Amino acid sequence: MELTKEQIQRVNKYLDLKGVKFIDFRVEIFDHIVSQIEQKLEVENTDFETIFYQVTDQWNKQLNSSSSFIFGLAYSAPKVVMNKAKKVFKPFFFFTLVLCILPGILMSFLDLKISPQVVNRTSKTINVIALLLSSIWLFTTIKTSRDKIKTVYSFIIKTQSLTIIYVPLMVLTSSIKDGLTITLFLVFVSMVMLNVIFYKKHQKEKEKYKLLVG
Amino acid sequence: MGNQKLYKGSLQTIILKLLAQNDKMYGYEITQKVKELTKGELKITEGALYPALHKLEAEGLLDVEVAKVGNRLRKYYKLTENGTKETANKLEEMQEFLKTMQQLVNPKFSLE
Repeated sequence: MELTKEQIQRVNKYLDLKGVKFIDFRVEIFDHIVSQIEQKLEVENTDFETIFYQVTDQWNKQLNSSSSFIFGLAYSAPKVVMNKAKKVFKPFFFFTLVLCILPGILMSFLDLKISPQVVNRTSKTINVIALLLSSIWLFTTIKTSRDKIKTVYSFIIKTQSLTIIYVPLMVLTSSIKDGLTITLFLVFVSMVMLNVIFYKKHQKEKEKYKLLVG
Repeated sequence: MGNQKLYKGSLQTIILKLLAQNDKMYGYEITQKVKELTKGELKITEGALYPALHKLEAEGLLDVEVAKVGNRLRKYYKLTENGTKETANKLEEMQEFLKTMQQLVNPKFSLE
């Protein structure tokens, strides 16, 4: 039995309330819930309200708001979305963590004697590259934040928007005498890489739903 | 019903096998088909199904197709070429596993 417009609206409102705005989950979960209700209405001799509460009660566990230390506790999403975001982001998180530690360790072991000219030239090169990368980062971040269509990938980009702001500033104001600037630079490069990769994935995901997006 | 934990590690193989037999399927359809085939013994939860489907899709074993069905969109999953090969491998692994378990649990009546 197909649901009426009002009943469909109830399901949509439920998903809005749960914050399921991510297209890569919304379409699928909406279809699943509506299919479940339609089938139950056919099989069981019960009214829509009762079935609606049974089905949504079953989904609540997966759709309740959840957060993770990986993204910062300020960012939350339905549990099912958060779980996927964590799975997708974890390799990048640990890669960036290694980049934070490795240059410092290498520098202390190698004890390099670098001439001031080399330091100066490398600093300038890092600044120019950082500036170029900043524009790429800005483009991908602004483009995804303005996009009305949200995916798990745009959620990840959003969670990284605050932490990255200080990185180019520090790169532009430091020298490479110690491992710090190199560390910051490498972390910044990896974050821009992350943004570009997830921006592309976001676009690819949208492409699958072109019927809806238009 | 109490055996849900034992089935957990086999979820991907179950999905691949179903898709090998059914060309394309959507999430809810998969849960219902499994329930029907196992006479209600195995119930795949939404919390386990979608992460498994998304993982298989990310690994390139499944392809997706979004189609308008009635008043809504529906996401269908189907096997890719790699997915078809992987299904054969996973089923072979499963047979081996079942054979080993049979030998361990009930040596007198093992399959060999």
